[in-house]
Amino acid sequence: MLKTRIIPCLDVKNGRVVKGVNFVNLVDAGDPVEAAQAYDEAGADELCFLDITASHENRSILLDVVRRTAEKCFMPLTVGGGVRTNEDIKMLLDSGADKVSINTSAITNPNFIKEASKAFGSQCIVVAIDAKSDNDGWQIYTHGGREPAGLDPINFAKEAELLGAGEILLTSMDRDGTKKGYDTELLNKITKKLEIPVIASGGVGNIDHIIDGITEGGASAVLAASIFHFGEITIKEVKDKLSEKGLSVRK
Amino acid sequence: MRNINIAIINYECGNIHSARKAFELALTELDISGSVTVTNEPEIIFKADKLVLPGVGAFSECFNKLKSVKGLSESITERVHGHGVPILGICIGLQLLADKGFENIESKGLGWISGQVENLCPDDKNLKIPHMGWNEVNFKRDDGRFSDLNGEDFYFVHSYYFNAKDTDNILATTNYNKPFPSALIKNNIIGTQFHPEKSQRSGVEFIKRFLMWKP
Repeated sequence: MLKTRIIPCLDVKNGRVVKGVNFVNLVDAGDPVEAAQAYDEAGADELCFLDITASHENRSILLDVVRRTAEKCFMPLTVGGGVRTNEDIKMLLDSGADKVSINTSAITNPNFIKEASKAFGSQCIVVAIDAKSDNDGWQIYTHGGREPAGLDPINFAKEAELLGAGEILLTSMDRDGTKKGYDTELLNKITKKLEIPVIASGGVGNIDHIIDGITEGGASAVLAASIFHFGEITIKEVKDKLSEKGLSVRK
Repeated sequence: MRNINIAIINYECGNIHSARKAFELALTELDISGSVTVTNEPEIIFKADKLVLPGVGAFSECFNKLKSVKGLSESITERVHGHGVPILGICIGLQLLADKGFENIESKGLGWISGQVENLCPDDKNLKIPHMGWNEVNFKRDDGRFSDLNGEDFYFVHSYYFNAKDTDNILATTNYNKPFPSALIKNNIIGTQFHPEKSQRSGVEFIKRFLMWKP
């Protein structure tokens, strides 16, 4: 049986982890490679790097981080942040990323999803959607959540699937950082409509939230950052509780 | 054999970085000297003791790319069929071993293990396509030394599967709505639908067994 994936996400800026990772055994908690290895050992099913480096010129630092991580961790690695062209994707994949997450560029230019999936295969194209609720539903925001795109995330997720996305990473901006749980209503509307897997993101505060994301939201994978970084919950605790609830996880 | 030269065939179909690293780790853990070379050069393929055909992407495109490098597929064929060198096909690398594939368009494969590559198409609409993530691999028999990994989880990402014509060639199955062949074997040829190079400990263990395998 296919397992629900638990995916820790690391925000990386100029080659360093931001928001911090608070593990006991790390010599340098700011080193993404070391954090990645710790998650690898802790039983993470995949890993996600989100590059929030402001300037594009510092891309080589990220590529080096990806390369060093791929040398140490034999698990799928998704990298996102500032991906605008097929050349960006190629450089990340050549450095050792398995999947590339596209956010703003996918939304402002949906044809990019088609070009990217045609060139590299759907399996490595993740479309990241940041959504926020408004009066009559939800709306997509781009540029790190600053600009409304005037698009409905449910319809856009379907469009992304039809254009060749292999997976959707859905972040609820209302919930992100609140520890109130995923927006399971939006998740459910999207997972019901799509054939491709959806990763839930934004708002995890405890293990029950993770369970809700899977059972109520229909997520194929759950992504979280701070609860794992600060050791509030370990990946093992999540997996034990999930399996107690009859959800299938990799041991 | 205390020295193994491994050639990972590079035909511009996906990320081979992690495959190289995983094979290097497997060699180290086995305490065997040797080399791992990512290559498309026939001369290197002729010197290799083990071949690896990785790959992600679409069937027909990958097949065409494999065929487009002058002398590449001929050298692999001669090594595998003429000299009995073991080969491991991974993901598309496994699928290319089939007679033909049906991803986007009908396309010819290498035809080394009979069968065709078809859409997974689960009847259960709750099951997502691609089949992406960790799933158990149930090894069916013990031709080599793989069956002790029976029941381990490996990482998959695919929308098509190898529908083997001869069930004798099925080394392992995995359940996704219904069981499908997730590893195939024929003489000195092995292929896995899963990615051992992405499957952490289980993956490295699989690779070690492939390196020690004497068909």
